[in-house]
Amino acid sequence: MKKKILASLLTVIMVLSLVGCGGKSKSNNQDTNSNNSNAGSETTNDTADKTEDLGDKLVFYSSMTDEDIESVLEGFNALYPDIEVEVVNGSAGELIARITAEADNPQGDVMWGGLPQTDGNSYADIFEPYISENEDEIYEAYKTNNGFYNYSHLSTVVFCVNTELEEKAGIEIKGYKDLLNPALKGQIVFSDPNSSSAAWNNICNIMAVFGYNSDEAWDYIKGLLENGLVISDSSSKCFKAVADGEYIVGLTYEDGAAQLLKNGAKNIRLVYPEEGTSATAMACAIIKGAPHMAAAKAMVNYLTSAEGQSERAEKLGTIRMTNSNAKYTTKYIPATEEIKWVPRDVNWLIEHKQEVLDRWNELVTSIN
Amino acid sequence: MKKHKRLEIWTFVTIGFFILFAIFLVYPMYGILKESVVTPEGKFSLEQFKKFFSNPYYSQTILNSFKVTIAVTALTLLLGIPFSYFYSFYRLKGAKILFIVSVLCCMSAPFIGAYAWIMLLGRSGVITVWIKEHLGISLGSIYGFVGIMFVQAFKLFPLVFIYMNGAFKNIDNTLLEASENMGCVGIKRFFKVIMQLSMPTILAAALMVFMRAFADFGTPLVIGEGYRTFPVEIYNQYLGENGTNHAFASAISVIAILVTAVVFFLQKWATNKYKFSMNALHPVEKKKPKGILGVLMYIYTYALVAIAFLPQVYIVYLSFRNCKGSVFQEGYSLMNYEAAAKKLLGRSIKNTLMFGVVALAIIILLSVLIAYLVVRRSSVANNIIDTVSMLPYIIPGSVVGIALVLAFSKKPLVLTGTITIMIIALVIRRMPYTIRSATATLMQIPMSIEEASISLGASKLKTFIKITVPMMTNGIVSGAILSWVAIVTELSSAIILYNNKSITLTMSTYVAISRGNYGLGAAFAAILTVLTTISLLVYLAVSKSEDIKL
Repeated sequence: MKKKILASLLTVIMVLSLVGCGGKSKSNNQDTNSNNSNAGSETTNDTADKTEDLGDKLVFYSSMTDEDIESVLEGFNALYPDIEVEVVNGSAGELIARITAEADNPQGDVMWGGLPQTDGNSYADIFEPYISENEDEIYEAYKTNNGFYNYSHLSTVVFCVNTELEEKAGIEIKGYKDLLNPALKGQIVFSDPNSSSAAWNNICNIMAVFGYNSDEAWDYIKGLLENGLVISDSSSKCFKAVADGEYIVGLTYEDGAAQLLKNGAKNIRLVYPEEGTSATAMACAIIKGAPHMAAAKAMVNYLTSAEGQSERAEKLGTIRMTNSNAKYTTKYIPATEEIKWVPRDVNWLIEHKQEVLDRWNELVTSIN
Repeated sequence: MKKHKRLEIWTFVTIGFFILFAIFLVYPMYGILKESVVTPEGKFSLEQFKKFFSNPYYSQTILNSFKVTIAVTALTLLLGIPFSYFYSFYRLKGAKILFIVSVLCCMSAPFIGAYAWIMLLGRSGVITVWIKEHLGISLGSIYGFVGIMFVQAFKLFPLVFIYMNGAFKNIDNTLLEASENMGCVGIKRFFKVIMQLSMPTILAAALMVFMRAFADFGTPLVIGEGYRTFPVEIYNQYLGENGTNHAFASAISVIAILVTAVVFFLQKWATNKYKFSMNALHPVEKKKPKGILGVLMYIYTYALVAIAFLPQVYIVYLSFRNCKGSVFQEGYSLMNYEAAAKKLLGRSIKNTLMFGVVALAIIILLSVLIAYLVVRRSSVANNIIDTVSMLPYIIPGSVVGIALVLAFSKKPLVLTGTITIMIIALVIRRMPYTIRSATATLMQIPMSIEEASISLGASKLKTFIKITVPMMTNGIVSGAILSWVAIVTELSSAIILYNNKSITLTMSTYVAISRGNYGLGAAFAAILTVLTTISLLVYLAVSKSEDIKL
């Protein structure tokens, strides 16, 4: 009898403790819900009133680097000192998975980074339709194309080249055709366009330069793969590992590589392919059912505002912005006028993305 | 009358487990796996599976994983068994250090260990360059198949080591003396007697290593360089930045589960062929290593441990270097630690410890009960419990994390964002270690001892608590260390489940590294190593099963 009681007591305690903890979080949710109703019922008139009505918290999901996030928080908190921003880091994929899984009980307010133009309407069910109040200042090419992405900065395609190894190999890399040089065999690093938006960005540029789905484009990609293109599983390798001396050149994005220069790396340089380069715009978006909706809108407006972008870009010196009124210098990257740009057909890329990826996968398997 | 009572208690426990597993294991996993066969329109379809098998781009990943994992398992057994043999049968000087350091080797955060190896042995690695300049030899690439095998083997051989220690401790010396009397000594005795006696444990250890290596995605992610394995594929399909296909990922998960189930049953079948019992009334007496063999022994054990521990040492060194973002600069300072203190260091430490202790307590309780159910009250129901409890081990952590979030983000049980859900994930994922070692140990304890106790008047439960469990301590303890190790380095499910309230040291390290803050990451990892060392020392001081007077 005693032992039965003991055993049942143990089980009951185990289950109770779990329910008890669950109960606590339920009351937490009720708190945030009441905050939400407070924040939701204000009007956005004066900045002074705004600060009161925006609540005191913002949960910020971001895949950007620490330096990026810090520069944003500095500026944002200068405008809204009462809002405490809680940052949750992760790669864009991880954050999207988290947001999707939390859809019935959203914990985050804003997601920033890793949301390119070619997503189209893919994530319409997890983001809140909202267009920032600075939309008319945004460059035509980067205005929102789905009603919930607000593009805040550009990610430009670039090669990151290790100068020491480049010299040792006796070559000079200026553009795409140089990557077919056998001296670079197995020394070019890339990531997987199926899972990395940076790699996809590069494929988009190849399409833009050589012709969308043209024979030249696919012949070029084939040539790259046959020259031992290394497909690593992390997009940051494409500049970090180059700086570490593991590869001679990486196909990557501008501000990733430029931040290395900013942090004192002396053995790399940025090469903008002479055939032409292009950029995708990266967005911030409000999560559907965000618990702190007003603060979320304030953040999106800040990220797209001319002042916000000027401040941020000036601090970083490694990035280009989307607001046509933003004024900043680019210390570590060449001025926009110095680069050869090619236009990008975003709509074509959205429509044919899966087709391009499937053909890429076929090529990769057939060559390995 | 007594028999009736006996059945009631343990049947009750069985039912309790069924309920527990149904809520916290089956229901979440069902949610995820349902996606693999149900189209968005709600119809049953096998097209995801067709897609996987018809396209070598994908089906190659399972083959690759298999190949490299078998290689890793073989290598860890090769490295770990001799190591454990020298450690258990001979009095090595500094044996305690060997033990602590080898456990530390498998406690490093997954990403950072592989990254450290690249910095040491990569194309521009510190060691590679040194060897090229001074010895003129070009080391091969550390990437790809060889790299994965090397890094994983050196990380996982301590699992074999710890398991085998438990087994060797339980070998009765009289058996060894008897074989010596019959003229079988040395290597021959090693293979014919000692290996055969410890087969259940060897098989258990091999299974653990296999499962862990098969599902590991941190190492292939960093060092694979194009050698595609399936956990990375699942990770990409679930968490990739570019249009993920959850249904497809579910399908791959199902295939992976099937593969593991097959391996698991093979192992079970093989273990059943070694059903015998033994008690350590006369535990083996350690000999002093003599002569050339002695020297070789010392070289082998110390070299093995030194190589395996090298990346962690390097990380500690890096944590003191000046660092801006991902570029290491000249000079040394404490700037990384200062930065860490600003980034929730205190909370990370507190959470790491608390989760570890709570999860471990729950795990030990449940494992001992399950081991008893499986070994002493073997039935279909209990075998099902055994198998189900092993499943989470093979399912990649990120999938477990997502499953838990999906299942518990709706009423009536809302656990997302809490500490509870982190602990549940830890318990689910890390229970298998302790279960396997408890089961293997219990199999070696003869029924006659329990029967003796019962015939002396003790009830079944009293026998269990006062006789069986203390005899299982060796096995429980070695399994508990491994569970603790795995809990403290938990990464893949924590990525999905954590928030700033429940952040741990390993998560802080991951976040720092992936945001490009290498110095900060090194600082967190170094602190993790220190914490682990302290907890191991405390553990050794407290537990009596590890002989301190070595």
